[in-house]
Amino acid sequence: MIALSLFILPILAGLVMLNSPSLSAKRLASAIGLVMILIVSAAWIRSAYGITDEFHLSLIEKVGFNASFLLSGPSLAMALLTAVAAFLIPITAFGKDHDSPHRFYGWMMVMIGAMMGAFITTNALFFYLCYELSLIPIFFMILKWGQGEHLTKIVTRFFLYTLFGSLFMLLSILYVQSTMEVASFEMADMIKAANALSSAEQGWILAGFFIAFAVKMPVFPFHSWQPSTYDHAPIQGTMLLAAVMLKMATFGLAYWVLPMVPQGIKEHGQWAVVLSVISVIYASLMAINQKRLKLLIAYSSVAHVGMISAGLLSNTDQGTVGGYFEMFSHGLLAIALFAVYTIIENRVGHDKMNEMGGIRTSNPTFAFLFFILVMGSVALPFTSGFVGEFLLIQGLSHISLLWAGIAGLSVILGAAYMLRGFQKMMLGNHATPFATLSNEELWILGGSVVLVIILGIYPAPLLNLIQMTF
Amino acid sequence: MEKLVSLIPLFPLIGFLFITFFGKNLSKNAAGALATAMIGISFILAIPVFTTQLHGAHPVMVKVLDWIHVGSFHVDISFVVDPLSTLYVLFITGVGSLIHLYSIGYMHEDEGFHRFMSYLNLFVFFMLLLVLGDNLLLLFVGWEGVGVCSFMLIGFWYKDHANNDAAKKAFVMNRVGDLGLLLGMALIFIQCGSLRYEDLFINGSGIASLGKYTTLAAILLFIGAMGKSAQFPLHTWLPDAMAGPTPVSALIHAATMVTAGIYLVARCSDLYAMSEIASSVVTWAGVITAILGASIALTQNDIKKVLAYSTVSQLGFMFAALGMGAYTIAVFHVVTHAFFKALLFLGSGSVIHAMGGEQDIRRMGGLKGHMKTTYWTFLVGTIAIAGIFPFAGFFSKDQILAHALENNMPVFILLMLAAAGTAFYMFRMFYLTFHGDFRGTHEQEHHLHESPAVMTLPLIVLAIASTVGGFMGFPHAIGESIHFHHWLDHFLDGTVVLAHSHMSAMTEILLALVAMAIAGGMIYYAYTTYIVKNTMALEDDEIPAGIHRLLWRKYAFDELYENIFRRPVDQLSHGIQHWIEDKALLMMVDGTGSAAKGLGHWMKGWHNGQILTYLIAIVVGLIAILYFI
Repeated sequence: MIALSLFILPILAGLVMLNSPSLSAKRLASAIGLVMILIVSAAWIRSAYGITDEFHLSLIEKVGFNASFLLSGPSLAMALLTAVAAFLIPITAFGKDHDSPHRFYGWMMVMIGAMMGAFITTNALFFYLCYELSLIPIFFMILKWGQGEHLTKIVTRFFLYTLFGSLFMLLSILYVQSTMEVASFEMADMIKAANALSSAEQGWILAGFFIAFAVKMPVFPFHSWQPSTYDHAPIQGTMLLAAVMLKMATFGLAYWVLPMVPQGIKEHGQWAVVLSVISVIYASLMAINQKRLKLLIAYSSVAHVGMISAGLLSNTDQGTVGGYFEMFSHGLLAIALFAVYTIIENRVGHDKMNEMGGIRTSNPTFAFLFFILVMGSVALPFTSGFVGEFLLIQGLSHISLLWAGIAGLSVILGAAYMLRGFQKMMLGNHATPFATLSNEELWILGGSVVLVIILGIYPAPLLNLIQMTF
Repeated sequence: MEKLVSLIPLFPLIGFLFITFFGKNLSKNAAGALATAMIGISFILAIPVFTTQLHGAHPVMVKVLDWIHVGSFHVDISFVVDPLSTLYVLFITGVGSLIHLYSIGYMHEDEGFHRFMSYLNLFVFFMLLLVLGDNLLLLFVGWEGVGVCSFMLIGFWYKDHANNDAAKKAFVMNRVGDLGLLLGMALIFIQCGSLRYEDLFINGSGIASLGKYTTLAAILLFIGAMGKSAQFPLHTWLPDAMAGPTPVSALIHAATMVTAGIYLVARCSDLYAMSEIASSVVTWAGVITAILGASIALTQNDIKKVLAYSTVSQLGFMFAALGMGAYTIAVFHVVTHAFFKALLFLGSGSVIHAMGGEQDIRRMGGLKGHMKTTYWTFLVGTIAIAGIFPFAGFFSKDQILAHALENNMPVFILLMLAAAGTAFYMFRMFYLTFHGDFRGTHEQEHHLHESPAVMTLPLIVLAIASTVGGFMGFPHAIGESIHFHHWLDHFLDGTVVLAHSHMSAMTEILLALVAMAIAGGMIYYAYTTYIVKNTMALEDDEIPAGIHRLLWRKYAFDELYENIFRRPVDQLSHGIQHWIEDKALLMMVDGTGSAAKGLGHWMKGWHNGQILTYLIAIVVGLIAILYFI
């Protein structure tokens, strides 16, 4: 029941909120996030005693479509990230409220529920369903609460692009299922069936999955929907996209694809590694010339995700565990960095980095916290970013030291673009006025900074959780 | 006793945290005293830990915390107590506490005083992690940690973007090296299955499993060392790093952080001893850097820039020694260099302090009469680096030269040349600064004064260390009958690979005399030029075209890198943005976009809040597909 409640609770809450304008939706959403954190923690503690939470409900028996949930280690790690996001993101409104907040946060909770479902299910079809379902809420969130010209065009591009991409995943899933004697979408059966296939067939299955995931993550050249969507979405929507939604793709790769088609990855998966590595470099190069903070963060996110994808495809312990860890760390940093963006935007009125400076003089606390987040983003040791990135590079080195070196160029480029941005906004003589942080702002940034450092110095609990099924 | 080791980095960390979070309530003197005391305590703790190693104790590992355990990959936060690490700890905390003390005086008028002291503490913390870690990954933590502290301290006066640019340049260039180190570690782990020194070097030789990758791994690690220790071609960040306050230059960019590269190679001496190619790469990078730095220093007029290029050059000497297998000699030179170069930087700080911020030696002169302690201690430092017996630099440099003479004649000649240049540029700077007539403004002349005791005391202590510090590595010939005979060699035996010298005592003494004669000749030449003939260094626009101007322009490396790296990357970035990101990719997507637009309008009409509609649509669609199959 614990497993089921993680899925049902946010969905039900979201449905209720959508229809109750009188609720204080922001607080309620955050509170439910907190409850979810507690539920995940309970499951985590139970897992330490060897109790695995499961749930199974047969929905369409004939085809094997079940609502099966299993709180394995990686699932719990992602569930925790989702719950933390549900808790933090409403707070990052920082006192501002949307038009009809009950709808905004209602949609958000539905989306959280759908993503939660994708992380904890062991039924491939259910995974696919949740993967798609989560698009609908974010589609409306951006359309209604987004800003800028051509909004409809941008949102539609995003929606159709990702929807179209996922169809290839469905094809792969259905193909594997069609090879079984008794139709099933359950993970164990899917893995067994896929493992039995020839490596060429596995390669095609990988291709189907990877195209779907490459659009969602995104990976070059399927990323063109992302910068404009991130830019025009309401910032909390952007957080949801970057912190959690894209993790469904990297998670899907790690949780489903790696065990299903190891042979296909090894013999026919080089192109996916190459695309991921290109993506890292391409996005880093794009980040270098960005003039606006939001786009800088957006491109740096593409670079990090490319690294996750490349490391995962090494299909080594270090690559996989590093991948999960970096998903968590990146989610946390994405929320924190976009919160930094919000705080700046609220005070300065824009995010053009060239047109501000010296904020460190006006507000040293803010600059200090931002600096540590920047260091987390450039994967400085003793921040969470390092543990993930080091393991990923280590994993990637198993495939090829050369590719690890090329992807590793992001270590240099990342330092260059993050420090350049930091310097332009925070340092220098001209001091942009910058009001003191409110309590909410201080808690969000301070809390993320503490988490980023703790996970960097003592990553053992999370690493152990992730490896629970290994 | 070894268990004490985990406390050594703890105190600087406490100092950093305390001053950062509660520093507001402390006066400047209290904060400065606290920061200094933290390093002082670490130094005192380091002494007994060090002495355990004097009597040939075995290396001890002290584990603090589980860190990263993934599959077969196991790395902990764990410290190693052995001769090499304890020697480094001793001089880091020793020189470090002196520089902290000095900073109380030097930075006293600065509004960011608390921030400064806390950063210095944090730096020492990471530096100690670097040398105490019992594995390469923990070394890397310290490695990048000191890099960040270096970044924060170079750009300490962050209101001036010139400082921030220097800080960023240092960090990014270091990251070039760090990538090498990172890949080197990846390779070593894949081949050897561990990153712990114990597995790689101490017990058996895990490092031998590298096989055909030995050279590659050694060179990758060395790329890291080149970044951190400012070796050609990654040397250009170090002179720019002088933008930071002078104590920073003394502590980070002379005595400790920049010698981390030497530590890395010495720590992995087993690896380098296995690869002749990698070793000659190290040697030649060192020799080129030694010549490069010394030749540029001949023409510089900023007192700190001269010292910075001198540091670059001296680090080159150390790498030349490492490459020739003389690991202990390199470490010896690290220690003596820490003494006299810290002394020289602090002395220059004292001069700058007296001159009201002026750093150009062409605007100085005749300071001898105004600041006796600074003058005499600076003289000690200058003689020590010039390599005159019995000052510290003589012993270590002479041994590097002796080793080169025995092993590699071209290296010997080039290093001899660099050593001669060193004696000249140091005394050129010395005479221009302290002798002759004062050439600054009246206001400056009126302001000239000796620095307060908190600043002169460290100068005196370091001057003493620069005088007697050389005796711990007494050369073969002279030290035969003395207790100190090859003390350092014996001490480091088992930790790093030893070099064996077959040089006769006679040759060694002869070499020492020749080297000293050359140094003396260069000093005399500087004396006649700048004292007897009273020649003045040229103003910037008077510098003739040709070799002199090329040296003055530092061989134009900055311009070169600007043109072959930074600008092309920027152009590439803009080109990609324009042609691929904004044109090609969008065209690809928007080809289908016009259709999408119509669909979008249609879907917008759907927004009626009835989530059930969408859910049902999806489920119905799916079921339809499934039954169809």
